[in-house]
Amino acid sequence: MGISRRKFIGCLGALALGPAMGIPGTAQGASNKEFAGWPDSQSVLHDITKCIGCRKCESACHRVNHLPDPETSFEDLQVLDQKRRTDADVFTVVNRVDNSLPVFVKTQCNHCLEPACASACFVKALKKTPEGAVVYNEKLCVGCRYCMVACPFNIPAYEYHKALAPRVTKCTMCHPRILEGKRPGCVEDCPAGALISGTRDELLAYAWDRIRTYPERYVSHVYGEHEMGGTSWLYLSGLHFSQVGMREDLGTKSAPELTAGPLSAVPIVVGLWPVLLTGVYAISKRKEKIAELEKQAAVTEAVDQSKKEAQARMETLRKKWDQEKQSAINFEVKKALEDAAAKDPEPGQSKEDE
Amino acid sequence: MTDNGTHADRKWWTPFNVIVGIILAAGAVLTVMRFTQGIGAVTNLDNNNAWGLWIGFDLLCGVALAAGGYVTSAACYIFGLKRYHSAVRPAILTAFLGYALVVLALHYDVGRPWRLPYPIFVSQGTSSLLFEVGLCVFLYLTVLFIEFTPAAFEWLGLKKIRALVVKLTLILTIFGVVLSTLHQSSLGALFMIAPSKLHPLWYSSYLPVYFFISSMFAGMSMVIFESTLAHRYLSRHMDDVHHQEAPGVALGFAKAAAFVMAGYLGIKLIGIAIDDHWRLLATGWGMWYLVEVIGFVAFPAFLFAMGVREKNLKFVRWAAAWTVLGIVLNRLNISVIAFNYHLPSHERYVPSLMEIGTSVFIVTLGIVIYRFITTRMPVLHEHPDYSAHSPGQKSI
Amino acid sequence: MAKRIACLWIVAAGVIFFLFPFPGQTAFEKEAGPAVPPDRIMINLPQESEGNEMPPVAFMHARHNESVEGDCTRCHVEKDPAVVFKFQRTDQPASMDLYHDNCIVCHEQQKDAGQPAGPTTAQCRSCHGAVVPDPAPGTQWEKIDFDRSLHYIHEVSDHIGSPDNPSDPDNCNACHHRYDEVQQRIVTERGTESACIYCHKEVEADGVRSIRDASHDACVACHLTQKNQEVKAGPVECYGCHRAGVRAEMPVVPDAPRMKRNQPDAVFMTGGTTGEGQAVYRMSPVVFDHKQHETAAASCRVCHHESLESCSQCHTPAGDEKGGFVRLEQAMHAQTESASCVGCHAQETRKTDCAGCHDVMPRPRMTENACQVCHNDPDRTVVHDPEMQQIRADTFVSAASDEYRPVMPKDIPETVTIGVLSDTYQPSRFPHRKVMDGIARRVEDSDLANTFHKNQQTLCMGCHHNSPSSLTPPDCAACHAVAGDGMPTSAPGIPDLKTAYHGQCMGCHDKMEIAAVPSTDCQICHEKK
Repeated sequence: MGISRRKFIGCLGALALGPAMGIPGTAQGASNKEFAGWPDSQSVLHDITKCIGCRKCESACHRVNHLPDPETSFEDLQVLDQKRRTDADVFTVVNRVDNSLPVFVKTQCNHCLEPACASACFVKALKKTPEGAVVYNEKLCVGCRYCMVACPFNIPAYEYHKALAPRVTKCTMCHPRILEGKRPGCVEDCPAGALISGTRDELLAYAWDRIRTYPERYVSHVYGEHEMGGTSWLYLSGLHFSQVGMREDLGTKSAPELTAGPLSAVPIVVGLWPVLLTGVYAISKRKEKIAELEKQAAVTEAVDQSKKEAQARMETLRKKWDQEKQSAINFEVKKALEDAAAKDPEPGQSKEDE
Repeated sequence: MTDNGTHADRKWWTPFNVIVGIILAAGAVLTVMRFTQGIGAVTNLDNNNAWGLWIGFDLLCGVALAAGGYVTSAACYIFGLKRYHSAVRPAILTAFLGYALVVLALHYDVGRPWRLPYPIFVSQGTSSLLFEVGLCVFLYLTVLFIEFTPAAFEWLGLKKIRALVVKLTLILTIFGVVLSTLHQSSLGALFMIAPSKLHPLWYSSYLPVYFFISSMFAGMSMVIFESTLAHRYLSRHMDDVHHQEAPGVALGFAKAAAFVMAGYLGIKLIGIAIDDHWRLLATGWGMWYLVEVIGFVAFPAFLFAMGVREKNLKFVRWAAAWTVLGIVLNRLNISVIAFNYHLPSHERYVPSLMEIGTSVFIVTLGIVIYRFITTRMPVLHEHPDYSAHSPGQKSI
Repeated sequence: MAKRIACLWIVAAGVIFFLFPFPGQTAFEKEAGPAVPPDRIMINLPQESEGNEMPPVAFMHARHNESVEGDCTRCHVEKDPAVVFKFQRTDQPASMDLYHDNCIVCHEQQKDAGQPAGPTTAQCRSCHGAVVPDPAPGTQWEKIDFDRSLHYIHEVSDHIGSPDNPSDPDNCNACHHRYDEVQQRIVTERGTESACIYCHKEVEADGVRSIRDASHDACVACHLTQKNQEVKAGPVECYGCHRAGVRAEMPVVPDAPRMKRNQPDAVFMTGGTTGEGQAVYRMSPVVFDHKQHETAAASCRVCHHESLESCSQCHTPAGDEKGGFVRLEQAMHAQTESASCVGCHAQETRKTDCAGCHDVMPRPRMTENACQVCHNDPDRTVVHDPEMQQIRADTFVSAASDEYRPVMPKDIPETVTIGVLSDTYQPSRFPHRKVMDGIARRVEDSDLANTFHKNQQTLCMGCHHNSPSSLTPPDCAACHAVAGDGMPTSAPGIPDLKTAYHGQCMGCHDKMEIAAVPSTDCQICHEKK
């Protein structure tokens, strides 16, 4: 895709918007580029009022793309009794909408100007070509089917019954034929003029011209002009598009615009988170350190305290000892004196003892 | 079973083994079917519903519930809350297994699994949010693997290399948080490309924020939930430290989860207000939305708060299980139930039994591997050589 | 025990997850409700309750009519000479109590009598249901168009006589009257008859009954009286006039004679002059064949949308407040207004007989030829005397020629073989003259087409378009490229040859509802090779 969307935001203002996730709803988050489609890209206009439901486009598609044969021939119009959708080997279907008169609507890939599928593909297996077609490269496809989730028109199909190399399939706008200067197969074979090919600009002008010329025949809306950022397949209808089974509530935002916000948040997170987290780590570390220091101080204090107490105790003990020693000495002295006195009696005393 | 790894007295026919055996055998059969007959043969996926249970449950829920890894390691190493230390290793292991199984599940879901490295090595679709998811999951899986290696190295007795990895702890943790922020949120952002398919009550430009915030309490609840189970069934592999710290871990995370969930409710409310979807709350889908938000966020948040207040572990454990269920509900709503809500009912997706079977198989595989590792490696206990209480060792 | 309960919880949660019938998922599958019968009358009294406390009541008239066995006086007050079709009152405004007292009392009486009865006290919601617009979408109710044919049936009815003189065959004043400002009363005066809607508007205003009340009081009351006299009369039930498509079941007098109100046969219309005393009109006057248009239009009101006066009374050349500032030129030429000449003609060209050619023409082509068809009096001399104008118009109309220049059959190829593109199919043999004849026949059947296609060669231009009228028109391939495999088209507006052929043939068959040839059956026109 020729659209750069993931520009690094070198803008501190955006960084200051800090919250991890992007700025909801702004497309300018990732890029200020507007993409209005490739100039002179090919388009197809489907005039629903002209479609007769003959399925010639289906058979042409089948022939041009060498698709497997369907169960019944393309001349069997009974299949129109059921609502059908594109399938792994059916790139386009015509559905009948029963109004007062039956109305036929052809469905196929709309080849968005900024395709949701291509925007969603994480291996760039889908690409919007400058010629207008959105093409698929099966050499890259992983088969994650995110393109199918992303497609607002529910177009891509998947080969669910292939075990090992299933492909995503969809209309290619006959890109190879366009490169040769030919028209898409379905346009080539449409007998009723319900499909017209040309460059998008001239088809848009023509479509609006039709609406202005036959105001009572058409609703004043070219489907695909702005839907999902615009598509290369345009539609004219006599009934409201919602009445013929097309969604009118898709909005005009292209898929890249929808995801620009979250994508723009990536650099913010990558830039900001480590700084913040390291800061938090530093703070918690510092807290730990302070706690450690306080603990040490407390320990030394406690040690000092206990030392003092021990000294005091020792002192008293020593005193005690000293006293005891003294008294013992005194006692001994006394005793010795007494003994001595007894062995060497004093005159006068001994007479009495005996 | 004993700790020293001799299996002489092991009983083979325990109910656990029998059930697991049956599930694994069924899984093997489904695997063969998937890789011989294609996804179509085992799933109810179709062209309108390209993503089903394998993405909605295996990938989205798997990643969300593996968020315990970054939450716990960030709490312990970045916020310096050492009391969660014993919870880090089991959380990292769960996260690693979770992510590994997500990648395994992707092998089932994508068409050509051998090309899964393509977005990183062959063709970078940088405009895609899925690219962001893929790149981050790839990097984060690597980070988790490295973060978990010390346990394996201790088990294998490779001291030098363990010391080297331990030195990287902080860097790895920060890197892990960055990567988690990015891909948890981008999983939500995946669905921002389809405003026309996801019901407006669930679609919001805040989807990435919702996913990131909810992944936090999903991770915390998962840690509590898991430790509940581990205490019940793997208690004998835990050391005293783990036993002593477990209630603290549970209450701490419960408190944090209650706060984060209240915040989450707040931004959900802001989201509804910004898009002015109040009137949608009165519809059938609105009821369902309220079931999710009130029944599975507000209610467990209240339970957590009660549990913390009353110091009641039972409350906390129930709340954790309920929250995990709520996360599963939310992720399934966004990817399957409220997705493609506009399709007529016969075109809507309901998973097939085989899909559910495959998911059960993958979860069971996770449980078996978890059990295998925790009964052998120092996850729920510290390796005696590296115990924090033995001198001169920095533990991880 | 606790374990078991836990298991139960987990199982229950699982069930909720996977089997819960997700609410609202069928919100997009709206089923069309049954069509609302035309006899549903919305009773809505916004003036009664400031905040409109209760939704309006949908009253089923036919059902009640059955239960009272056609006795209108059970609900409607008799007022000489007939019944007033308002509920239990004549001309005072409706009130909530009036309905509550009468309806509920009657329901309760029925109930006591053991008859099936409607809701009674305290069953408010049974009557005051959901708010539905009136008429609701999907309703079968339709206005009745009292057209020329119906008017004639009443005009010649033996049972409708003039109130003053029942034997007088001129019975206009049985229905028609006017309000005389001077006498301040209703008077009947021959020659002033107009459409009811001119005075009786959609809603009651200035004491003039709404068209609904007026017509019910007049028509239904009269029908009832007739019916009571065992005389065949018009409908008395809602669905008799107001069921969609009911008009088709009523008698139709084809080519009903003209109404008798002294209207002119021809009208001399001019756009006025550029100033006082000018001798010539701004442009060629239009001599309008009023008589012819009377038979073509369903009723006078098709053109005379507000009154039976002449157009220029309100639509002056410069525009006037009386005519809503719609200038005479606009009133005559507005392309999208059915009351204007050009607008009405344009609508006619959309009819199946004309659509084959005209549908591809975006709008009426205001070519010189087309202007001259209406602005048919080349003499622009001013005539001041109205009588002289009338004489001039009458002579002009009577002298108008039905000259018609057909194309000689020899100049019309019998068949044309289209084979320049034949690839998977054989060449197609196109029955050229048969198609031409079919178109010519349709043109002859229509006065309008006749007037505008005096020269039959103009018919060729339906298919051979974008080139001057000629007996040897250019080949289609002159403009439409033979786009073979890979050739791009010339321009979006110019289809390639295959598309042009198909578009022309199928488009015409489609628009003219020639169902014999379905567009998707290729082999009807060309055999497969």
